[in-house]
Amino acid sequence: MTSEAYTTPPAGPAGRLRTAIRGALFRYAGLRGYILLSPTLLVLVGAMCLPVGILLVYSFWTQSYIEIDHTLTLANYIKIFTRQSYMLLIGKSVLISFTVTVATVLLAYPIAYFIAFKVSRYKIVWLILITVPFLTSYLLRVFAWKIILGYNGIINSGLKWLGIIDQPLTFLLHNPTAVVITLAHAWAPIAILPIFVSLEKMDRSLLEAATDLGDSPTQRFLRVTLPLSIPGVVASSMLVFIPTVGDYITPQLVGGPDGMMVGSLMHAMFFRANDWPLGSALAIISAMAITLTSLGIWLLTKQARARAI
Amino acid sequence: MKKNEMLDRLADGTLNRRSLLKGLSAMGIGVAMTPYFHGRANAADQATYFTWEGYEVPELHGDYIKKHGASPEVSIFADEGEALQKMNAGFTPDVAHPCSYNVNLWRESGVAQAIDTSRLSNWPDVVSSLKTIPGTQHEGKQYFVPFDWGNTSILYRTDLVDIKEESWGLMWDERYKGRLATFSGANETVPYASVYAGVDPWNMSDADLAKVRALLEKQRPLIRFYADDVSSIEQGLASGEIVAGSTWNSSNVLLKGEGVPVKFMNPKEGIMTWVCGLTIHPKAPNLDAAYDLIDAMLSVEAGKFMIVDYGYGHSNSKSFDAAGDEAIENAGLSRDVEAFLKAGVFSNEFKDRDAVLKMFEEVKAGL
Amino acid sequence: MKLSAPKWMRGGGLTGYAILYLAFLYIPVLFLPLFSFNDGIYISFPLKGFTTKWYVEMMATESLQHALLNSIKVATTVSIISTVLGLLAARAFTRYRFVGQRPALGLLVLPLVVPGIILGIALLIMANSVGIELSLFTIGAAHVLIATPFATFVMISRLEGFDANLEEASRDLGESGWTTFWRVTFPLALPGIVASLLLTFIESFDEFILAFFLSGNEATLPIYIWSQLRFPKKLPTVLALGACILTFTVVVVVFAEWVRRRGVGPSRKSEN
Repeated sequence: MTSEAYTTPPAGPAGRLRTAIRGALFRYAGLRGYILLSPTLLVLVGAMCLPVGILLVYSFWTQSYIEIDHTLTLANYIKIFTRQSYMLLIGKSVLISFTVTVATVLLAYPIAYFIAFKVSRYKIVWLILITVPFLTSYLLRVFAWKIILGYNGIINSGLKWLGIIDQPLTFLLHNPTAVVITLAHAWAPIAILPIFVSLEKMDRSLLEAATDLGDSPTQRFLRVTLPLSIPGVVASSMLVFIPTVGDYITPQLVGGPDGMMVGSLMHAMFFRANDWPLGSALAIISAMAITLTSLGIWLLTKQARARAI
Repeated sequence: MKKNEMLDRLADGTLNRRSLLKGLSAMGIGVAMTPYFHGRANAADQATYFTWEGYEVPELHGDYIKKHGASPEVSIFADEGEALQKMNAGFTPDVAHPCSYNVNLWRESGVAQAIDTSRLSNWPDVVSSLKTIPGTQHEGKQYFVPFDWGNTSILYRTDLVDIKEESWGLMWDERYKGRLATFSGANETVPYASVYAGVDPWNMSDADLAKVRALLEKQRPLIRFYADDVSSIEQGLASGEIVAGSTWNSSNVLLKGEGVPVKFMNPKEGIMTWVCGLTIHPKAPNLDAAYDLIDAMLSVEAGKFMIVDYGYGHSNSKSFDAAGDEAIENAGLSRDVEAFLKAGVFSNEFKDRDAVLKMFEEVKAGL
Repeated sequence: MKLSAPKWMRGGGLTGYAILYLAFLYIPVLFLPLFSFNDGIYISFPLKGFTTKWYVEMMATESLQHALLNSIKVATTVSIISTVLGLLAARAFTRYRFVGQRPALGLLVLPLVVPGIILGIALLIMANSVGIELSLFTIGAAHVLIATPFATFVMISRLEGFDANLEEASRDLGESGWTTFWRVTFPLALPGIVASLLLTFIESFDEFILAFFLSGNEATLPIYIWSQLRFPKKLPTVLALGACILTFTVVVVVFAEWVRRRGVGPSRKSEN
């Protein structure tokens, strides 16, 4: 690898340093990689790790009125853990998110299968069709459901107009079910993609082998396709579950009193009740709950995933 | 270079930088790269007005528009707690619109400055009892300009509700389960619950707080939604989704005007009264415009609109004459402001604000 | 290679499901434009008549234009910065092997996965403790945080199919590092860069939660929409705005995805 820049090494200590650095960059490709990565890493650390760190510190302080007491204390955590009701709210949020995840992934699997196996020529078109709704405004999509499920909304007025019902249905909106429907719709596209990827990457020869060895199509699906697609299913579940636990917009717009999730309480602590430390503690605990649940799913499916690879 | 050809070469990766730039500039994208202009040049000179929904209408600051040629910049809040947080986080409006019980907190938080009332031409006409509401003055200085006053009470559908007497108890009536709505702000809902429980809302002991909490927890299953704003309650009443909701005078005027059969209750335990007004932020960027805005809102024209169209009282004593006795009657107001306010439960500061707020947030969350 | 699927999945059944699914994805969203042309304030059937007055009103609203301009400012800046960062990171990941690559990749995914409200709270607290005042800058910074992973992954998928020999060949022919980059790497990565710019623009343009937490005096478009959602009289105008945003987003995203996948397409075919 010859290049003109290296035929005449510059002289002097600065020149020697430059040569040394150049040499190091040359030899250790990894170092070059790091240097390229550093601006991005810096941004990530500065804009994410640092704030989360400060959040953690805040959770150990206490606030009364407008004064924040900077003595480190576990008071907030004790309060949250000992008040059964706080833990119940977090538990409820996890449960709702879990329901959303199951519903979304179950609905997403067949269509991922469809695109991976049944579509030969226009895969790109289908993939684009699937991705586009996800990239439109989240707020608008949630709001669309609010006007669909509302008392005088699209479903109710449509049914009334068609003469099917007299009084509007009240169970459509302002409850956890509305939250599940809305979130399942909002996150559906993101659930499809990981499953699709793992199905697409699947070695077709394995499927052929199964058929040659006498498996019926159903058997082949259950014994080969499904297990091999588990990594995709798990990834998809994570991608839906984790963000939905902290969601506060959907519960606020369509949840009603019963559909409240922990995100609403966090928001209240910061914007109304004026207790930032308590809100921070709540955020940290929610994050931990999410991590633990995800870890649990990760470990449970570890065996299945190992076999898949 | 034709567009299609360019796209093909773009996708293939054979498009080189020079031709790309040529193509792009041909499409006029160069224009888009020019530095962003700063929007309307005069936007920076207008006062920023931070208020509840409905109060930004031009009829309430006509004099300001005459002087400055346009309405002020408006930002809406639904909850004073949220408003305070936003300001604490750095939002600096010129004029804000809290209610009297929050002025102390806002002043101590550093978001309200002493107001020079000599700069307000309409100040001498302001009802004197409103000038000296507890909490709005500090060390002889005025921190609050009273603007509007009125009631919080239950607005109910007379055709859908059957009650023998007017009482706050309607909000706990099991017959209307799932058809009631109340404000999500603690300042709005907790007081009437306390009044119904028979305790003094502004000086609750721990036992009192527990009693009110139990009552609010009893109410929760009956509530269809906790409203962040007046519109949801108004819409709900208009469509019949809810049969009763806690709200303010203006909703009564609005729905009656639309032909909806409603009545604004005068509960036997006492109707809630409040006075809200204007504060100036210490770091207000457009101080002169701020004073102009406040003065405009204190004017008689604004007051007349307030009484006739909104059904709220106005702080300028001359507005009563302009509005006329009939309008005052219709709105359920009175010329004797002091007596009016005393006849109901006047909104004040909670003794332990944080405890009350937190309690209500927990109740709402179902905890 | 066509293998027969299980009977219950075969043929029409699955295709029918796919069509239904697409309907489920799109129809709720399509109600927004539908009712934006409806001559009535309430969003309910029956439809009252066709009108474009909401669009006219929308274009006359000053606060809306102001918010729109803010959103464009923020989104453009964010897309440029995050694409640059993403390009550097993608190149680092695809061209070099170094210790800590997997953790770094994990760190990169984190902003996409942490719930928005937690991120928003954390950033708000940090801004507050450090004394940074909330403004369009703070919104932009938050958006860069979530847009950069996006940009990186878009670019990784583009650079992975990239033949490193091309670069070596260029160097052998006498080009220095910088011109190699400019004449070989950059044009080949261009579809990815364009896709990344467009996708991160949309990401920032539509983002609400972080913007809401970190906004100062200036509002972005989603914040404006949020503030209008409660006024029944303003609702149709908001729907008109929503319809416009949807159309714009769809056009941009379809274009971006098409450019990105078309670029990758030929090399996939060559593998077969």
